[in-house]
Amino acid sequence: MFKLTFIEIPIGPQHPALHEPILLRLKVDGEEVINSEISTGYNHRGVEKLLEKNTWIKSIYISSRICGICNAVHMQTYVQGIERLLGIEPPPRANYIRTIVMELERIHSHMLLFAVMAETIGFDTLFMIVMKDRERVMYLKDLVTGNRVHADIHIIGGVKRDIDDSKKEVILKELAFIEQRVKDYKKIMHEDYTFQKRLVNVGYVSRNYALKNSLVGPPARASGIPYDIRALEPYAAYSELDFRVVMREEGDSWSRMMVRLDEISESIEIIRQALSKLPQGSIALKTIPRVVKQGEHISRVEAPRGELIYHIVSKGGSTPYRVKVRTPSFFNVLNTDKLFIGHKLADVPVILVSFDPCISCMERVLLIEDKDKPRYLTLKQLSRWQPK
Amino acid sequence: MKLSMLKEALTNIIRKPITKTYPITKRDIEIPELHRGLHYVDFSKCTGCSLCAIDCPSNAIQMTKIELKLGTNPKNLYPIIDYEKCVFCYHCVYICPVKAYITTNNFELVRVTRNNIAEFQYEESSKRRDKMTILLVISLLIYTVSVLLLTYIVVRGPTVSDKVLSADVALYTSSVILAITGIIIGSEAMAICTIILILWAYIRA
Repeated sequence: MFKLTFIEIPIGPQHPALHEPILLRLKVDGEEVINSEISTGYNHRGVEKLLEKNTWIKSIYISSRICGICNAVHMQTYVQGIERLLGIEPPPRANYIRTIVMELERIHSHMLLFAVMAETIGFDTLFMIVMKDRERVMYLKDLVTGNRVHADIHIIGGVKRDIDDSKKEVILKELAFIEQRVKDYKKIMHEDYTFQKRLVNVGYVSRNYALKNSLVGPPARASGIPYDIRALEPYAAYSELDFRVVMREEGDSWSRMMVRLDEISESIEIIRQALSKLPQGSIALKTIPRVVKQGEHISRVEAPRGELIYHIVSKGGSTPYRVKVRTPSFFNVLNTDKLFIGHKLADVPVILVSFDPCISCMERVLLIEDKDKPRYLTLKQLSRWQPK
Repeated sequence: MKLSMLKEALTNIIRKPITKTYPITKRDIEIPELHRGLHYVDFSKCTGCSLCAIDCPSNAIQMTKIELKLGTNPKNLYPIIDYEKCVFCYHCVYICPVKAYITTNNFELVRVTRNNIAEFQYEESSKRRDKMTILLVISLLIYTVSVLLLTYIVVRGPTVSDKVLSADVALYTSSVILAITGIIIGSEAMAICTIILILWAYIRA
């Protein structure tokens, strides 16, 4: 009899449709994807070891270099963990400034993803328009922190720069413009033919699937799970600010993008509140502690892509003993493989982009423990070891 | 597509391109005054406490001894910033107890441009060339000494002691050294010449 054969298409690690190195092995039957595999490990940088080797103060700046887009959030998570280990509390004004910087970051991260999505589906005009508008947010970040991308505003026990009245005015003026533009984007999402055809009912994630695979951030919130660390375990100044956890029930790519756009509006509202409530007082403690006493802490923060976890272990002294970083993309990207099945080949980049992958952030060594029989590998075997 | 977007689309047709031929035309987007740009040390304020050098995350600051005798700095240690290593986190500016750092918003710190790239490459290559010339001079010295030795033995005529230090041995060693240097420097002509020399020595023997 005749035998069914399928073609295997490798996409990546270097590919025009992907912005970062990741390998997708897709098995296709004509245009339809019938099986897919994701393999990573092309961009492992050994950041965790670098954090262990440097002093507490140096490693703050290294932690912010883990991700270019969500650098202030990485810094907040690490600094917050150190502060809780030390048992100190930053002044309230510092907390508010941290919140403002992190929300500005959330706005530009979501706008970037919206632009990338427009480019992926072939809507290049919108890509240009959104990137032009995003430049205004980058200017605001430059104004507040001193750089467009790397904020570097956190220090143990406070922040390095203050916000005065003239900066406040500029921020409010620019935010009003961005709010108007976000409304326009939402209209485009609702009415535009291209967006409706390419995103609606593509890459459906059920509530069960999201819970089972522990998806975090906008992908989880788009599937009806109201999981937001800002509301569940408030850090910085979030406990004193009113905001809504954006949630949707549809669970497709379109709703994931809509959750992000709604979050931009919510972030603008948070910044306005924080600016009006900004308390008076100092912005940092007088001395920076250099030695952290023994202990460990798990620090959690809601990054633009989802929950970010730092596990910091200190054995006393001037350097951390162990810092484990778990970025949100780790679960979000690794669990997309089942979602491609049944879709057309052209939908694959759309689904992947709707999860906001940040590949070089998530490159960690993952160890799966075999409970029945422990195995011992030499270093040479480990380097050639491949998951089954 | 709503009317507000249509208006923008129409104005974009008439508008000049946003992209500029930088650095020939300067960019017109303003940069905030407190942008983290080039920063340097006011030596008259520095006390040489080395806090900035200890905390620098990229080890870009080196405390170097400069005999200025300004009075404020007893050890005469001043921080020198390597801007190629610097990540402009401004931790040094923040941590300085006497506020000795002067900050600017100048971000145009490129050393190599399209115009001076030839000079830059010449500088880099000349460093390598210097090392090569030393090798060449040493090998030529050894070669001339051995050739002189050979001619001396030929003129004087063979004696008993030549069994110990014969002319052929000197020629062999010198030509082998020359061949190795020829390979290191990358000149094939020199290597071929030395091989001919070795052959000649073989025929003579």
